[in-house]
Amino acid sequence: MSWDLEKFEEKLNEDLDNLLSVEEKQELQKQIESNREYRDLSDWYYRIQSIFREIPHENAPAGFTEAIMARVNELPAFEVEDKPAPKINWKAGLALVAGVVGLAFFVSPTTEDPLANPRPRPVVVAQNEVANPAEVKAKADLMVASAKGVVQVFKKDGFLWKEISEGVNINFEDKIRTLSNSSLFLKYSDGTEVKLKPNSLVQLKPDGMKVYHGDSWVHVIKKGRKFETYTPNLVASVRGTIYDVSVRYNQQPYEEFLKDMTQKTVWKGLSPEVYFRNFSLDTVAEIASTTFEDQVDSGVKVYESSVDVRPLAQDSVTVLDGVIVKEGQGVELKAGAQVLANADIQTLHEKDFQGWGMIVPGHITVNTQVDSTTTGTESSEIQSGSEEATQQNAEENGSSESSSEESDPSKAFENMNK
Amino acid sequence: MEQDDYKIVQQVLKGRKDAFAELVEKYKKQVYNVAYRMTNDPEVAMDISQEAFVKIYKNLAQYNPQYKFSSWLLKSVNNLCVDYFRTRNDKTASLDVIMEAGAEGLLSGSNVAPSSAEEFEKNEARLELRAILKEAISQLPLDYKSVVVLRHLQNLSYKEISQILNLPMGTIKARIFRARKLLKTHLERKISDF
Repeated sequence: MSWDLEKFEEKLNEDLDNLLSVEEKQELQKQIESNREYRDLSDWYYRIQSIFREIPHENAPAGFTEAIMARVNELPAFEVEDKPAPKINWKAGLALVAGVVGLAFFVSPTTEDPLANPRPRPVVVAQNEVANPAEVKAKADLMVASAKGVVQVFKKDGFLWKEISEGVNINFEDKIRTLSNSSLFLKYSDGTEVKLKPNSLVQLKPDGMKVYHGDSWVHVIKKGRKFETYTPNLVASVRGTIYDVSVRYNQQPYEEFLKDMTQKTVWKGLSPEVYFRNFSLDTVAEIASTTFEDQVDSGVKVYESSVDVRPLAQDSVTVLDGVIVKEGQGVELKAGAQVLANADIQTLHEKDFQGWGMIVPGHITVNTQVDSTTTGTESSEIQSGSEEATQQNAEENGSSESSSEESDPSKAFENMNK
Repeated sequence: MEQDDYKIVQQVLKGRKDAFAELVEKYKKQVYNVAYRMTNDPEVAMDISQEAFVKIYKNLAQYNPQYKFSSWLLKSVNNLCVDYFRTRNDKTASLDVIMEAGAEGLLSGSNVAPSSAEEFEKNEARLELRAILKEAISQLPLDYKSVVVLRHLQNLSYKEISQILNLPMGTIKARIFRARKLLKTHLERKISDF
């Protein structure tokens, strides 16, 4: 009796998985021999099956075990025998418990499946000499002069944020972010310096950078060196100068904005778990740069020489006519605006210099009034936002030490350089 | 074999971190290969493999010895691969995509030019076929890819795959069946282009 195609394929698949009895196998063989279509079909499947066996198994990269063990060795041992119980730091303990409980709230599996996995955390590359060989081999394009707090790198081809403190290299096209209470000081090989305040996200390129969010500071040392800083709505071009660029979406600091983003329609389908797994934070900013482009405020403040600031058209590519901003001046491109005029240029406030650990040069006149310039005011708002976040974190950590530092970013950068 | 794994786990749980290296050494090739075949990217495979082992270490106290240690480990790898594709919004991430893309038509193979497998007996053709098959695996929707990688490249049983993917055996069987059809269709198409 001839089988129909459906039954034949079912039995053929069972045969491929060695699930047929001897009798069933014999019957299958009869079907194959009696039907040319079945013969061709089975020929294909058996052939594929045999090719599967020929696909070689790749060896794990050299240093695989060492890289993993370097990470494991950073984690606490489960239970060390014959050692006195450690003294409990109740403040730190409570903070830790609170943190773990908070994290578990978002990431704990909802099933009792014995094979269920905990949620992943950002990949941390192994340290120093025992680091992941693939990372070690890669040459860094940028040098970390100093870093404070949580500074993470999203490698160009990676998919997880990695802690910069763990020795990961920074190369062009990687994305870098500073979270609350964190800051970073980077150097290009030609001496160009970049600083990031807390809650910033940037992507560094050979001849400039892209600022997705937050406050970045640039000191181009080499004369004639091209350096362009792009925000979602403007580009600042310089040749030998010091300036900063600020970007805010909906006038919010980075982390606050990200938390809000998970509530917005654009993230329908992207669960908060994904957000807390740290997988998509850079994508958030990228999507934001197009989805929320009408909510982007960008500001440029010039501390030395001059900067050509030009708005970007809605296509985010076409560069429009802009203004030349001289030292001691700043300009802000408000959300939705596409025109910058000389009338938009404001005098910087003393605080703007102090915010980056600089003193006001004698030849520059700045606004010393409490009510600062437009950009200066924005800076104050930004700072107060950071202060709130800092204060909150400090309270959570049972410490107020970092708070005072955060309220004075110049201190943060001074300390970083020590 | 599994009893050995459990002994090692117990040693690690008693504070002997170095014993964990034995487990890494034992399963690194399997873990890396699954991650590599799933992502088709050696660097991402390395990242996922590392992360899987570290996750396992962190949760070692929860290990249930009634399950194979390797199954637990591969479940972690699979979950990380799923996260990877989901985060990248990869079009191969879901079975839904196959419907959206009209790939059901592929399953029937109705548009495929008839071609005889006998034409490809030669060794060089076989090597080519191997490359085509690897490419075809990398292009499978994730749900199919995982069963193919675990079944055909790791020779795991339906039961083990069922535990790793947390799916009924019937679903595993159906996916393998459909995945084979997709692979066959892909190969037929490629070969008809020669």
